[in-house]
Amino acid sequence: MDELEAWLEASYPRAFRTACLLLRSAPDAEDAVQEAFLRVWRFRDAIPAAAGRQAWLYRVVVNACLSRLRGERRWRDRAGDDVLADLPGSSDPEAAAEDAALGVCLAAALERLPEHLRVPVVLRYYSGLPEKDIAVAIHRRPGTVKSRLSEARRRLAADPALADWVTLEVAR
Amino acid sequence: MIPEDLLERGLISAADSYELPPESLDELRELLTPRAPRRLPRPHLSRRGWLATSAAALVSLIVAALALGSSSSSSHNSNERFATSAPSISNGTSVESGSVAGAGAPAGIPAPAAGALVAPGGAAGAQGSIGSQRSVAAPSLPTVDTSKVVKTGEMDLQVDKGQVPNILNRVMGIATVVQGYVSESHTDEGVDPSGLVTLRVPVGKFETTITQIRALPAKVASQQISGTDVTSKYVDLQARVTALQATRSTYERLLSRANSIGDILSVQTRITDVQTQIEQLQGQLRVLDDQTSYGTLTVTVDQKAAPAPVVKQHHQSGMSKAVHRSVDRFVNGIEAIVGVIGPILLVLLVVGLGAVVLRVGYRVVRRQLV
Repeated sequence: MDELEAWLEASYPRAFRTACLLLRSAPDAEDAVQEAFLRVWRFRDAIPAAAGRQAWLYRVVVNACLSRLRGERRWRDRAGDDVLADLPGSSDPEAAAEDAALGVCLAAALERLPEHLRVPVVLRYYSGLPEKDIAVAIHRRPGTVKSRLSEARRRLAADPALADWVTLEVAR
Repeated sequence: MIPEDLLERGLISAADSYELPPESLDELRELLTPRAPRRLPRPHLSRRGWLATSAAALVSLIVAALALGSSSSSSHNSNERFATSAPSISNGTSVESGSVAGAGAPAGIPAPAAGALVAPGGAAGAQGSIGSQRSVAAPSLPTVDTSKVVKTGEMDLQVDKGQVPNILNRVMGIATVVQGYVSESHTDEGVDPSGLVTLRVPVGKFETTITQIRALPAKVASQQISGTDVTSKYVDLQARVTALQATRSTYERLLSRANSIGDILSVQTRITDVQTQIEQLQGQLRVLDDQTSYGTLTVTVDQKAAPAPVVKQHHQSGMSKAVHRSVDRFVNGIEAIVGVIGPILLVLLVVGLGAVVLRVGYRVVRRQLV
């Protein structure tokens, strides 16, 4: 296995879950990520140097997800909460239950975010991409990414599903 | 704003709920294996996708058969056929079958020849003159536009320093001019001010709005427009509402005949369920109506990045240039001499060391021989 294959394999789980958050469907996410990875593999000669290749990979993954989202607006129609039913266990059951509940509320609030705000939020706070890499991934300027992230955080704080969580977090 | 760590925790929890399919990595390895013959990507069609594709193929076949049939039969028949089929095409929209039937053949079906247009019932005279008028005035066939398209767009504008609020106000003004409205706006003050406005504009004025925004004193860094055809979804929802309404009517008739309290309660529960479904679908129809009546345009306004400082080149006189050139050459000469001395010193050092070694060796050998 060469270095590129190893990198793609290592990147797969996070890319898959990023796609899940964007598409809210594991089968769709699997297809989108496979499609994206195959594309990356075919155009492997064009992959930028190590520093920029993660942004490049997410750009391809995000494009694959967006084309699915735009093809049919599954996001709105999907009863996505089913997939959140089986949340992972943890050594601290109380904390696990709290995280699980937070995950469900956040997923519901995320659903109400428009696509142009949802994508940067997932890339920043789940995939851990810096703003400049997100800018590359979504073909926008870093300033635009910054203002979208700020707007998304403002809207999420105002979302009824998360209002209690925000109050609780601030009180802590 | 929502705290960042809360957001991260929530997203990780939501993402972890999606289990990685066990075979997905194997499939990926198989796809990426260069030795194996390259497998084409899967068609990515779910069961619904296959059903939709099959249905589309069936509809295409029927349409093709109708088109062939209409071209081989007389124009009279084709007009009659369209007059009866038009309502099913419009499916509840405002297109009236009479106006379509009177106007001629539908789009996609070849127009009859100028002299071949025969009015229903074979009447000539006045109807014949209509036929000749149509032939003179080019057969511009009417199109039945029942499409429902959701239009969305994004524009990124870059403006001069201090112009962000001004441009944002003008963008919002354009929304008012085209009888749209600002659904939300957001601005960031500070060193690098920026703003984001989401406009809802009538679909018919979507392109006009974009043109007007492009005319503003701002650089359009990027623009993305997309249109999603939701006609099939809309028609499907309408059909489901009609079917559910029929079901509700049936239950209502049953309710009027029910005798026992158990029957009444049972039927009433069914009616409530059906009513809930109808309202949900009607809600979705209203959302689609809104989305297809008003396009959504998101405009982001940023300040242009400060230009890189330009190094000003001073004009030099001939003498000054000569002095500079002379100094440069002097320095270059010194550099060359130092560059040559280095290797010479190295050679001398090696030769000297070699001579010392030879001399010492010679003396040692000589003493041993003596």
